[in-house]
Amino acid sequence: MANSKILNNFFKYCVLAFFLYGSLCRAEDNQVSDIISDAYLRMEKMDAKIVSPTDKLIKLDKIFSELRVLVNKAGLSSLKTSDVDDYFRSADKLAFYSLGSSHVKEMRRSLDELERRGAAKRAERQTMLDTYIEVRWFRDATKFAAKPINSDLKVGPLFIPNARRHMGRSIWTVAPNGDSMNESDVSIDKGAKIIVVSSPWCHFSQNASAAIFKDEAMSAEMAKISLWIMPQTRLSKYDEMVEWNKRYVDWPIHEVNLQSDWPEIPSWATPGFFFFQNGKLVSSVIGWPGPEQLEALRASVAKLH
Amino acid sequence: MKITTAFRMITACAFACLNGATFAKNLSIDVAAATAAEGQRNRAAAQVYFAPIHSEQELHSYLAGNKSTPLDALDPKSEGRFLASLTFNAKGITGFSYEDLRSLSPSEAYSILALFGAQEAIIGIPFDSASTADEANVGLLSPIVIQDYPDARCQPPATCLSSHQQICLSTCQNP
Repeated sequence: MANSKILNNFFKYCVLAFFLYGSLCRAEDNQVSDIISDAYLRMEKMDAKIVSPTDKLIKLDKIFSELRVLVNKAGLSSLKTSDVDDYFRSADKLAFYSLGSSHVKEMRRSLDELERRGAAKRAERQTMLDTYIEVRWFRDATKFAAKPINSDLKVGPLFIPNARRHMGRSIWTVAPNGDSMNESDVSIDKGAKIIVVSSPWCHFSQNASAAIFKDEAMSAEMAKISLWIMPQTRLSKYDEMVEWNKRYVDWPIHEVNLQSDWPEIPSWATPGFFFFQNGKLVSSVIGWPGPEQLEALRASVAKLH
Repeated sequence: MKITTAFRMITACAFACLNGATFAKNLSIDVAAATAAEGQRNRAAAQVYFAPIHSEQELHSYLAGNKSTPLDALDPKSEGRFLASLTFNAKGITGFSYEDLRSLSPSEAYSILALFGAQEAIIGIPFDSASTADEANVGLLSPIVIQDYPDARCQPPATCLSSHQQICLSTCQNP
């Protein structure tokens, strides 16, 4: 009788302990969940608030590093799906600004976890593929695109690297039919050169190009010594590049291979006109408020001659 | 005048005329594109003008004064992120993050963006899924010249700067 009472009490305590442990775990899970979600929200706010890409990257990376420690401690596989999703978004944001390998790897790690749970969205898989292209991990891109689950993704043109191995900077030019991107070396070390950071999707760049096209002297100058480049991009839209190159035959637009190969370019905001003499930056004109900016271009061109 | 000289002159004239014609043709194409682009920008500016929300302050008033809004399509976390991403100038919206709008239907995203007059920017959003009807109608919104720059934000002076999953809207003119 006494034994059965002890057993009964023991059983009650076990059940109580089990529920207590469950609630503690849930509380811990919720706490981790709250931290991850809060970290992402802070990153989003910081992203909107900070302008300088360098400052932004430092601050975002600080939050992400803390997040990575937390995620590794808890174990990616033990997180809630919504938390893995938030972690993917965080890594994606960092990879966008750093164009760096560790963040791209974290993106892939969290995407694999989402895939394992059958929770990877098409948009996330597309972002992964486009990021591989953006950071020039072509082998990973090819392998990733070949996975049966990714057969629904939009695959851009074929990137054909320069046949010769190069040490310096290079650019990618879209083929007239949009089927391929072809790499070529480029140098700005000799003579006068105008590097125009621009984008076919940017209305300021479009306006600048149209105004230059109408100005005969500036148009001739651009045809002679300008190189129009756009930053590394994950936008898998190449039709606009093809259209631009048809319209502005004398200053087609190219995508740089790696932005880090262009330390002389102080800003990748579009449009930005950078005037070089024998590889040295002489002057710059940033932005295109209107055709009055042609005067500033003329003044900078005059300094080159 | 020798025949050969005359022939050379005629060839040169013909060449100059052809070149001139090509230049004129290119110029007219460019003028047409520029006119279309300007028309689109004016239309986008008018849409922002007639929208109910032009600033953060108006956004807060709108949220406080309306129990049910198109933003209800987003879960609270996504709504917070989307609202934190909005940027305005004196005239209204200049950019937003499309990240949390991707999981909505194009119709839902359109209704949200219409609060700010940026509804036509849905053509730049890579939606997770869309009904055939929604997809067809998004296609109908496609402009002649794309001027809303995805993955960029409106940045003074008159530039677009790379920015994660933001859209630098054509209304980012002289902010």
